[in-house]
Amino acid sequence: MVKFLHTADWQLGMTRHFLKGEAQARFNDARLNAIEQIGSIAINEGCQFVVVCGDVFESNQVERQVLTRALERMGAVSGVTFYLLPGNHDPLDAASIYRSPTFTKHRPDNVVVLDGSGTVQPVPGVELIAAPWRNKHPTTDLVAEACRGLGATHAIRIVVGHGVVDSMSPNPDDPRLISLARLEEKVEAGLIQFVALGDRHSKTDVGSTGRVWYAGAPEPTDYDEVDPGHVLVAELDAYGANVGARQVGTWRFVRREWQLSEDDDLHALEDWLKSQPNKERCIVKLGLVGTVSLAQKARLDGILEDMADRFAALDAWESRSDLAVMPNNVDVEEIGLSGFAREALEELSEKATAESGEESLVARDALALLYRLAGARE
Amino acid sequence: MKLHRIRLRNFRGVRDREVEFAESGVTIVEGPNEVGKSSIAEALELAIEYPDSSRHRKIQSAKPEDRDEGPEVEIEMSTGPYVLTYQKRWIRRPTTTLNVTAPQSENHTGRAAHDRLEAILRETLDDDLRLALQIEQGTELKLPSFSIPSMRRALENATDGDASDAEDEDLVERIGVEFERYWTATGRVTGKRIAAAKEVEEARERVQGLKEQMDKIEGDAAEMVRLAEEARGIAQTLQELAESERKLTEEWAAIDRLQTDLERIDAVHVAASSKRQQALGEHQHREEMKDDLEDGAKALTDLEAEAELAAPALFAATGQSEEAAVSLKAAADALRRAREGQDRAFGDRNFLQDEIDEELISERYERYKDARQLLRDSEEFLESAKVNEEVLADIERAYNEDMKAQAAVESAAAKVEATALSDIALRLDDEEFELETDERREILVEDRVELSVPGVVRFRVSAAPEARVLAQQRRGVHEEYLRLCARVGVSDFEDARRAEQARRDAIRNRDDARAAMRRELRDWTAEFMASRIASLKANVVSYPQQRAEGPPMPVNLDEALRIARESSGKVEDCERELQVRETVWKEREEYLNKVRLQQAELAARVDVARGRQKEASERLAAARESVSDEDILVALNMAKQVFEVSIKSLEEAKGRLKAADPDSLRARLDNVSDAKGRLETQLRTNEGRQHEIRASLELRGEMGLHGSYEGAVSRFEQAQREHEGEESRARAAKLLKETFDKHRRLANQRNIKPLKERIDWLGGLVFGPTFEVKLDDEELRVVGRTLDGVTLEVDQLSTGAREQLGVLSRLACAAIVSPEDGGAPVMIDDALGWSDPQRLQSMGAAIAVAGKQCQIVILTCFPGRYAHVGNAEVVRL
Repeated sequence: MVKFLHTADWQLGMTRHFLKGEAQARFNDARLNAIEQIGSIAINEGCQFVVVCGDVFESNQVERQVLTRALERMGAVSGVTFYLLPGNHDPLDAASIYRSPTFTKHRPDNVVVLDGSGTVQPVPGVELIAAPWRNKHPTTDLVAEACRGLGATHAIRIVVGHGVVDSMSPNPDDPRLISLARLEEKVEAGLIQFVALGDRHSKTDVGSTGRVWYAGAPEPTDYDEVDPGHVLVAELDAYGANVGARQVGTWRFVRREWQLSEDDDLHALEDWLKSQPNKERCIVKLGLVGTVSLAQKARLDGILEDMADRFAALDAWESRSDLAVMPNNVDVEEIGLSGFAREALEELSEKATAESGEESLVARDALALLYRLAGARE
Repeated sequence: MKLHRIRLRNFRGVRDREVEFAESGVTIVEGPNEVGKSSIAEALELAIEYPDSSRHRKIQSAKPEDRDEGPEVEIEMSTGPYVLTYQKRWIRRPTTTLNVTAPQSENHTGRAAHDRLEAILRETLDDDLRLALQIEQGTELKLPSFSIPSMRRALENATDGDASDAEDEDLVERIGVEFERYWTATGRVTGKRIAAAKEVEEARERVQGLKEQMDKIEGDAAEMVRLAEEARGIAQTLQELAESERKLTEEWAAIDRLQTDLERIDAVHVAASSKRQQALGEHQHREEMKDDLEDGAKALTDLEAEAELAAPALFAATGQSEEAAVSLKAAADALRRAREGQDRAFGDRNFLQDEIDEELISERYERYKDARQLLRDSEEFLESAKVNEEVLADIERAYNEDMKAQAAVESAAAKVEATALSDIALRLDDEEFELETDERREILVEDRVELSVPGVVRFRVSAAPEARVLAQQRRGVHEEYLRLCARVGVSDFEDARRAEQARRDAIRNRDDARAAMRRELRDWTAEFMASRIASLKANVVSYPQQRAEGPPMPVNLDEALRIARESSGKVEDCERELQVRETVWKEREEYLNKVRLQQAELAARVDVARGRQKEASERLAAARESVSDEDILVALNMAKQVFEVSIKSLEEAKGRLKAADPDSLRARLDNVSDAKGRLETQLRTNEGRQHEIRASLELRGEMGLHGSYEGAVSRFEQAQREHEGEESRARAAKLLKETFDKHRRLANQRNIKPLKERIDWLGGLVFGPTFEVKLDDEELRVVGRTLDGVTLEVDQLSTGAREQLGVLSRLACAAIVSPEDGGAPVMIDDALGWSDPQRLQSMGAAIAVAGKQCQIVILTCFPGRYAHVGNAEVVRL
């Protein structure tokens, strides 16, 4: 029986361009803190070792400061060894971070790179079959290759791999895909007891054996991740696997579409934004659709401006946004123009309601500007 | 705003004066400057502007100088819905009171009164308009702009447009400010935006640069994978090649053995071949010796026969040569004789020719000498001739004059005609003469004569006095004529004419003589001609004495010429004959020499052949003594047999080697070796390259470019977002401004119509029906005037016209803006100083007409200037 912690896709050194100023620094820190958190879970739950299934680093070229800090955090977790698998982001090629002088110099004893050079035994009776990425563009199923020729054994075998399993890929012709059937065959045959995978940032139980898992990213990295923010604690013996998820992530990526047309919609949006917990660690993208008046647009701008500083990031979901700004009678009255100024307003309104085109967009902006300038005189 | 009444106390020079203004119409306030007609406008200004506590310079100067009283103003007015009385005193016991009677009664004092009035005015009066409607004395003549909210509102009302207000103007200004945040005044992109665009571009370039570096690392890593793969492939191939090389080398050893066999057999073959060659040579040599002996005997026999035949040919050639020499000599003699004949014929011909020449040239010489004498004579005559054409003309003229004078004398003189009736003696002055019966004599009396029959009668005849004068004159003319003749030595005109003819003849002779001399001499000189004659004479004398003997001298030159021609022909014939004979002789001589040489050579050859034959015979005998002919033949056959055997062995060995195909094996072996070498080089290059990339990657990997790259991307995206935001704001501001400007312009163009019509109408009263103004639709200012179809800009107008336009435009404006809508009275402080009386009259009418629609206050110290304003109320201060 063996108990270990399965994690992957730390993506250390990742930059999110929509994060401004200190938010990026906090985002980075959260990723390093996750290492500590993982260490604590491993110690507290009696895990004998930790496997990190690829993409430990965002790139082989991450700043060396990122590397040294990560090694330091891992080194601080006493009694637990971290087995790092090179993935597609940090392959074990000639430029590999794992072969860099800094890594060599600062690697603590409890950090081991799974370079695929041979069977690794983290504890007696347990074998790690590693399928590291040796370059960015492999042409075969690396996991299948690592498992080739495995014979019967008394040891518990854990396959450590990185990549997409064929059952989840939209492109079945990709030669790099990990064949789930072959893995399950070996699992059924008792040649493998567990397959720890990385690459998919969402925690996923793959196939039907309950022994093939993606741990997901410990801290989320993007909006489209289904269930990120976990690590897995796996207990294995010859008869079965007991896999449990532990919450680690502190950040959230939230993406939502809003239909706006009434004042109530604006209220609802504002309330929703206000209700979000831990805003400073929350990254929000809004898709705003509908038609609003000048006054509503001004109010919306006010809400977003007000909220922008509270969230780590509050951005427009460009591909899902289509918000038209049309002056209505109330606007016109509110602006209170007469004479030629009113005629000008009417012309701009006409342009703004034109079906599409750059001119109508400019006209909408001009109307909003007019609304602001006219409002500013009161 | 409408003024009803104003009262000034202790205000400048005014002790206490109240002026009531006409409700609508014109109020003229007259009074000298010092009385303070301008004080009324000033008092109104100060009362509104300054609180009673003010110590402003303007307030101080309103205080009367001669007493210690505070200036005080009381105004009654309506403005908007308000009707009020406002009183204010400054400096001494300052007070302010405001009594409003409509729309609701209200009373205020002190500061509250001041503030309330201010509020009422702000609410009901367009202060800009009020100021625009004032014409102060002596201020500049610039025409006012009526782009004032109340004016615009009134115009918009008048044109049924929506009224715009001050806030709209304010908005326009804000739009302008917003526009200028992004665009320059001329509509160009501001420097800030240009800089932002540049920043974005630079950020993009930074990203690009870092991306390239990252890609290079990635590329190198991929290259390393490829190189490792390649190195593995090369090593594998090298191993395979080494195995091939080993096998091929074994095969090559067998071929080496065959090669050695072949070399040995070839050596045996070469020896056999050499021996055979030697036997063949010896055999051939003996055969040649035998042939030589046979050939030599035959050749000797032929030569000896040839020598015998050669002797008669030599004898014949010698005879022919001698014969040709005799013939040649005979021809040479004939030529010599012909040449002697030719010399004699030529001498005769020359002698006869000289004789003729001598005669002809001597004649020419004589003619030449005659001409030379004539030339000398003519020249001598011409030198002494005094009469010429000119002199002759002078004499002719004098002669004619003399003749004319003579005729005049004759016609004027008295004529006495005496006819003798019988023979009679008469005496005329001192001359006595006789007349026979019927003889008549005519006597011409120029002066007076006495004619008498001596002893019988005496007649004294006198000519008229003019006859005497004419006679006198004629004498003068005649003397001149005679003097001219005498000067050139002639007796009279006829004589002179002859002398001139003689001179002309002499000139012709001279010219003829010169021509004759030229003709005779041609290109010779006289001296040459003389010497030529002498030389010919000498020849003619000497030739007959020295002539060679022979036939007699020809009878004439023609005969001599014929003989000379014949002798030349004969010489030529002889020369040709001599040449022919000489050629024949030379040919025969050459042939003789050749025959002699051939015979000598033949004799020598016979000797040589005999010697050789003897030597050959001796050599063959000696050789046979050494080896017999039979022995040589036996040795030759033996060598041939051995050679045949060696050839067969050699062919067999070659066949064995060829069957083993050494070329092909060698090629394969070489190829394997070359491939190995090439691949080893390739492997070394590969390893070197891997080493190089590894070192580079180690160095660059440690730079941790990912963070820099991502940071640069963030900065670029941020800059781009901001820039795009700024650009869309700029576009919005531009569109907003352009749209506003456009509608404002259109509105202005619509709205100015009533103002223009009003000014045109008032102007029509002053300048006539063709008057029209041009307004700037933005500024609402008069910028030009058309009169009788001629348009002038304001600047081109006279000062008077400009001042009149200023007054008219204000009147029109005041008439358009009603007092309820912020309008104000037109205040004219002694304007129209530049207008002539006629213009003042029509201006008066225009002011009176305008006064029906607005309040007009005229302050003046020239009562007459506004006398033509018909309906004015006049107040005298």
